[in-house]
Amino acid sequence: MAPIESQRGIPRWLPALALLLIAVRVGVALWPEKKGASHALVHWVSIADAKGVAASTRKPILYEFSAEWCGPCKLMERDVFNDAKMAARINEHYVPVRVVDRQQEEGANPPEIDQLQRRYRVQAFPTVVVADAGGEERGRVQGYGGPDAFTKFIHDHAP
Amino acid sequence: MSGVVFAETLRRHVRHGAYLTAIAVLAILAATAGSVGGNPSLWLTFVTLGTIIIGCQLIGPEFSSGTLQLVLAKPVNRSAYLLSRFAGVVVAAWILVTLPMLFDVLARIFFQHQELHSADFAVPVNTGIENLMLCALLALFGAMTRSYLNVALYFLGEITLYALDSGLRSIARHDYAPSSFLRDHPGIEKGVVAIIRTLYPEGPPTFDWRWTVTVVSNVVVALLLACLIFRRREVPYGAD
Repeated sequence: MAPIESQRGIPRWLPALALLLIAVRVGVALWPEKKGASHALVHWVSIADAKGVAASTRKPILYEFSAEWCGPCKLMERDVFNDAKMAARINEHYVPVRVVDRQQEEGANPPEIDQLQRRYRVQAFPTVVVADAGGEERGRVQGYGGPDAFTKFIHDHAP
Repeated sequence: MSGVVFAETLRRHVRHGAYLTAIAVLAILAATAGSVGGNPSLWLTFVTLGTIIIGCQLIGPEFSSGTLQLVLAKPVNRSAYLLSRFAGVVVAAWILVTLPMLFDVLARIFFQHQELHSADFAVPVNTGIENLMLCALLALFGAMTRSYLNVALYFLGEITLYALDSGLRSIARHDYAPSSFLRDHPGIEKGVVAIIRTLYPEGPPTFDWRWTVTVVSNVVVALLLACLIFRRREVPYGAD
């Protein structure tokens, strides 16, 4: 019979694996900072992937049109997209796509952003548009009217 | 790891009538969702529920029933026992995701004539990874409690953290005494959110290796803590 002490031993590979994975995790945490990715709670999908993901998951697309210089967009970011509960609701019911305007910073927008802004007649920031996988508009809200109004909008247009 | 404990844990689940019924029901739900082009999260919610039911039996009830006392009277390494139980439960939980996912995908191909996208697989696979963390937490809580208190702690933690997050946000938005303090120290809110994301991860709709590595590293740390607690735990006869 093995000695009692060995019954309470920890397998050596477990702390080693934990340390290795923690090291990898630290590396992973540093990597996106270099690449400019975010640690957003909302799982933003790229414009190119949005329709494919919407078709597979059968969820509507939630386009968030914003700009770096837009104050209300930052307020909405803090109140809505950085709220764990709200982010979970958005991830559950929608395919979220962030469309950031670059007109002021770069003089012109990339063609895909320009096309989306024209298609959904975006005239002010923030504008949030709900569209089906085919791109048909299902609802929109222009400007930021506070977390309660936005929660109602998200709830009303969820499938 | 103990092959016998792993195989016995898996066998106990996959030969149970309720488990087989759950798989059949999930397969029907997934096939129905796939045939009408429904959202896979419809059936994935039940997968998570099934994982909680399987996972809550990981270690606590064995303590209460006296089985654990009998098992540990033999020269079995406690950590190997706990990890093997965890592995058995995880495989049983992953079968709950994999089989219905195949039905879902086949139904999409045959009834919807849908071209497959990586998201068809990403959402169920990420749910499987989420459930890995769920099982690790149930093992951790089970290592320090009795009976089904592990699942109670799991839900208590989730409800408390979400309530705390909502409460802090609400206070910060209004004009109460600590509002300005919270606004000046956004790290407090971010800290609560980081804890929520660590303990209760939510999978993205596409494959994301960064998210996967983060969750797996959290799982291993939770298991290491569970082993450290379980090795010190007193398991007297007639505990309950």
